[in-house]
Amino acid sequence: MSRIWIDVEDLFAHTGSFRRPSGIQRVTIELCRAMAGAADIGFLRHTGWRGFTAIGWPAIEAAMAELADDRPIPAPQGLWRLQWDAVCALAGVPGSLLPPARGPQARFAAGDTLLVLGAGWDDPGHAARVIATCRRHRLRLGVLLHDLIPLVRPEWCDPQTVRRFTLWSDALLRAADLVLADSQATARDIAARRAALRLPALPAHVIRLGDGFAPMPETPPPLEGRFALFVSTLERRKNHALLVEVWRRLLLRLGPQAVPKLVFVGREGPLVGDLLAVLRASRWLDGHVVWRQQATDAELAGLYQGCDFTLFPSLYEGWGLPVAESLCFGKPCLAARATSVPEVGGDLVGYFDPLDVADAERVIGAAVAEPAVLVSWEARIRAAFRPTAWAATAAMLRAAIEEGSERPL
Amino acid sequence: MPRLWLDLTGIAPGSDAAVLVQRVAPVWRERLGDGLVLCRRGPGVAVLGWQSLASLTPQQSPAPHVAAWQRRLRDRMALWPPRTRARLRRAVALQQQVLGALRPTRPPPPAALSADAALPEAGETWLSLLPFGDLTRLHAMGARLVLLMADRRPAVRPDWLAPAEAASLALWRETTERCLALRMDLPPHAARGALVPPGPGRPVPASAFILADGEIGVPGKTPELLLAWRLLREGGAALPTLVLAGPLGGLAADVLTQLRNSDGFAHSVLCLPNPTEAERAAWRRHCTFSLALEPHSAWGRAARDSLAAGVPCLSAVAVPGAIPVDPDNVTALARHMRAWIDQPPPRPAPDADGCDWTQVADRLLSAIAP
Repeated sequence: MSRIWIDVEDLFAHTGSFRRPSGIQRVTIELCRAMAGAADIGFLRHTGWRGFTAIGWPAIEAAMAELADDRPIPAPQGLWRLQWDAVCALAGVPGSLLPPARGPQARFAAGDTLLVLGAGWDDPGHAARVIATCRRHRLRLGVLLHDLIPLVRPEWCDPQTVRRFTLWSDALLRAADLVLADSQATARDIAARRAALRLPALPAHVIRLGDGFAPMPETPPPLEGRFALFVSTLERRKNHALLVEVWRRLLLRLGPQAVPKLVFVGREGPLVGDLLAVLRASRWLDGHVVWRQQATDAELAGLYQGCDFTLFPSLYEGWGLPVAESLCFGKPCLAARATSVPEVGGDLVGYFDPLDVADAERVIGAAVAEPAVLVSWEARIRAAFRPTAWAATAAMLRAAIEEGSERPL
Repeated sequence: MPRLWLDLTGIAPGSDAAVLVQRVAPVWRERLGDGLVLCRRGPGVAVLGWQSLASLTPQQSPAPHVAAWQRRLRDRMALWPPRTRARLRRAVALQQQVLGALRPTRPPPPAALSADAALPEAGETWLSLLPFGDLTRLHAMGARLVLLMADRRPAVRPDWLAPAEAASLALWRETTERCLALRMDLPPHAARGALVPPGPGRPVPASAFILADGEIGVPGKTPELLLAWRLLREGGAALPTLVLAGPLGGLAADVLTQLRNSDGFAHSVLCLPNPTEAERAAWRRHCTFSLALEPHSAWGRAARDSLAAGVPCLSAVAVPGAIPVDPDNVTALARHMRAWIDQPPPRPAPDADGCDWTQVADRLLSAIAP
């Protein structure tokens, strides 16, 4: 029986920069969790310069739980942490809050599949290691690409990320036996990239990602009064500036009493320095904009449950997890009619043009002015929304692998 | 009429305020003679010579906005952890923004500095444009304080001001006798006068190009313009070069970072900060069409200058002869630009509706008069 090996090193590498997982890491964790029980699934961490070592799912889950709970972790701190970062920087690999992997080499068999589900491009040697291992052991290589944003919108990423992502994704696209995408929009981007690289056409398998994540506890909303919620890293691509402009106009038009607060949840990302300066100068629109940089899962659940509606004006997405999350909580979502977002929300979501402030103001203003519409909308979501289970996503992934395994290496 | 003290403090060269002063001050000098005093606030008050008016025009092309040492630093930063890199990027962007803004606007040494004799006497008018300053002392002396807003931004978008400026604006509103704003229907200018500096500027691009004339940064709607440009590039058809020409504003760091990240959208966007008047005029003459996207410009300087030079213009403010466009609707902006790129519009007759800055200056003078 051939096995499926999933490379999870990037989950650990991600902790070098951020304590909590972001979108891609969350998808990887949920997919791995859904597949973990099967006998033919193995998980891999990097060890040494070229090798892989097997790791059990419980160990991965325990490591992630340590980070999610914000408990102290046994990693170098203070001056030692700085030195650790310096060593990682000199070695050209991302640092990690979690200890490096140790253990015997994984025992691959010809015909096994090695899956790359996450974000490996920060490690300059990742693609070479994976491809070399596949060739040495005659493994099939499968890669899930979440988006190609550094290629199609380089202005939103730092040049080093663009360089690394380009090398990583191009190498994997050339070598992969199976390419997976999380949306039709991403599949189109992949097809365009393959054409640009003059690679033979190999349609990407689109797998429908699961909706929602591990159950979140019900908690009272940490904010009083009416508010609208936008969960995403603050960055140019996510288009927070549009919402700030819409709120400024709504406050002028409807008055401060009639307009709910606008709550941003997410850490600070690139290219929002000017937006933050404007917000500070306006005293956060006189308190109508609230920014929570850190929110625990319980707080996030409370915010979702307590909000009037959610917003997602992103200019470019590979998928759009917050839209799915909003529907899981039964909350109406007003989202951008752009790239993959309509694939996530279907007709249960209200859409606007994320490049037109007036259109966004019209759609959002209607939701603000007529709370009764939101109530009936919530009822419609409860009646019609059927969340996709992560097990179903895992099944689609398996089907794609089995279909690919019929082709010769 | 008692003397009129014209305060040049902090007027950014090339800005709308600078252009306004350069166009009306010669008329006032004719009318008032020695009654017009140019001055600048500092530790004391410096009386400036007449030649200091020319300093409101950028005299030299600034250096390329990414220095070699910054490129080297950026390459080395690539090896550092992402969080450290992000912090340093912000610091470098800030430093670059400050340097870029300071180099061309650094004031020349005062022509004369006098302690008491240089201060206005009771009843004399002190006219200030942006930015604002501490007025307590002048007010206590009995000077008549008049604030002239050269554009509508402080009134409409106070969130685009630095916090100190916003606080100072509030003080001005409480203290000044008059607060004037330019009306939207002020007539366009006809001639530049003798203030265009001599000497070569940065060359006109050889290929076809579009000129975006106005502040580079959030108030100039440059982020929206870059989004529109990205839409046009995705269309796949051939594009001319996009030239961004204007003063570097205080909210320009993210725009510059985007251009650096993408090598100016792979060399299709040319950023030319702080242009001299000669450069601006030359680029304006040769561009296919111009964009004037500042929504709070008082009298639509960029659009009017463009039309006066016989160049069609997409303008965010209503200017006779210009095609109005909403810069907050990027989709429509890109559609307008695409249409004009595919079929360049006919060029209007130069100076189609000429203007009389003498009349403007006289109107302002009568508004300022006690």
